Amino acid sequence: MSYVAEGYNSFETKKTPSGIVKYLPDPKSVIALIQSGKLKEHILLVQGGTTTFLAPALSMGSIGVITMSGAPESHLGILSREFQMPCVMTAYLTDSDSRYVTGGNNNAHFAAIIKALEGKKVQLHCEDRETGRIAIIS
Amino acid sequence: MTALSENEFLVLNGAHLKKMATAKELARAVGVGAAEAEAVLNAAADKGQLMVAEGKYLLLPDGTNAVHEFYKTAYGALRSNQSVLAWYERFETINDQFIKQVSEWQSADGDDRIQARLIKTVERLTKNIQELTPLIPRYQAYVDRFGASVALVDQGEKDYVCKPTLDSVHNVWFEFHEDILSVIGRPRDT
Repeated sequence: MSYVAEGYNSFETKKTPSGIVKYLPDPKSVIALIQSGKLKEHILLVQGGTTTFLAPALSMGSIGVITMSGAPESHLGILSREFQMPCVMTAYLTDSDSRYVTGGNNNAHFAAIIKALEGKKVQLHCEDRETGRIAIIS
Repeated sequence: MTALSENEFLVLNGAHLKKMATAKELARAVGVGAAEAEAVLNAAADKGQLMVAEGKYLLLPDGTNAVHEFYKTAYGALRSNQSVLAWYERFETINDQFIKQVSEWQSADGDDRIQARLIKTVERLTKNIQELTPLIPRYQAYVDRFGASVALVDQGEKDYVCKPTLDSVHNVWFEFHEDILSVIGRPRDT
């Protein structure tokens, strides 16, 4: 299987959730998704590992998360393990050399990931100890 | 926008920090009666400041703005108070330590030695918070909540380390972190 993106794996799991990637930039977008009743149809894409506004989505049973920065040792990483919800962190596109830089201007890096993933149906593979992988399945 | 009263702030701030909680959970966390919390929450829902999903309250953007306005008015002077800002810098160091310890605890299946170190970090923060209570008296509630959760962990209730659906030490810590950031007017890293 070829993977479009990969990143740190929050925890090892055999779960392989799949869904349409939905980018959530702010608390409003999280609330709108919850209100739509379609939370579980989506893999959630967020910028950071301390994205606190994601907490309601986790409580409501989101199936998987991709972050573009942040480490498994963050609040979100801790919560993903508690909820046993697969989470790929600081993801990058496998066909690109662009990587997240701590403290740098990452806008173009984030935009490229959002463009490549949003609206696509993906599956998360998190069975490896270190690396979480993302495959496009349609 | 009408400014929040102190009690409205306490309850809505609880919703702001917990992100999603029942009236009972909010009332317990912020130290007001359940009926009073429910009245505040229902009035805020009528004003479009929060919504209810599966019996739990979630603050909407108007509610968050009202809470932030209260912080700005009530704690504006603390935002340039050097001892408070220095306190926060010290907190950042302890916070990094705590987050690392919780992650280690999770990956070691609740190892007792890691747990003992983690609880020591919580006790250190609890002591430090008491330096702030003369300026922010409501912070005593965090001291009490940490104390209650640590006591349960000590009795063998490991879920009180970081289970998201309980008043676990990680949950209380997370809320405190959000709270102190709001007090000093600093956004959290996304």
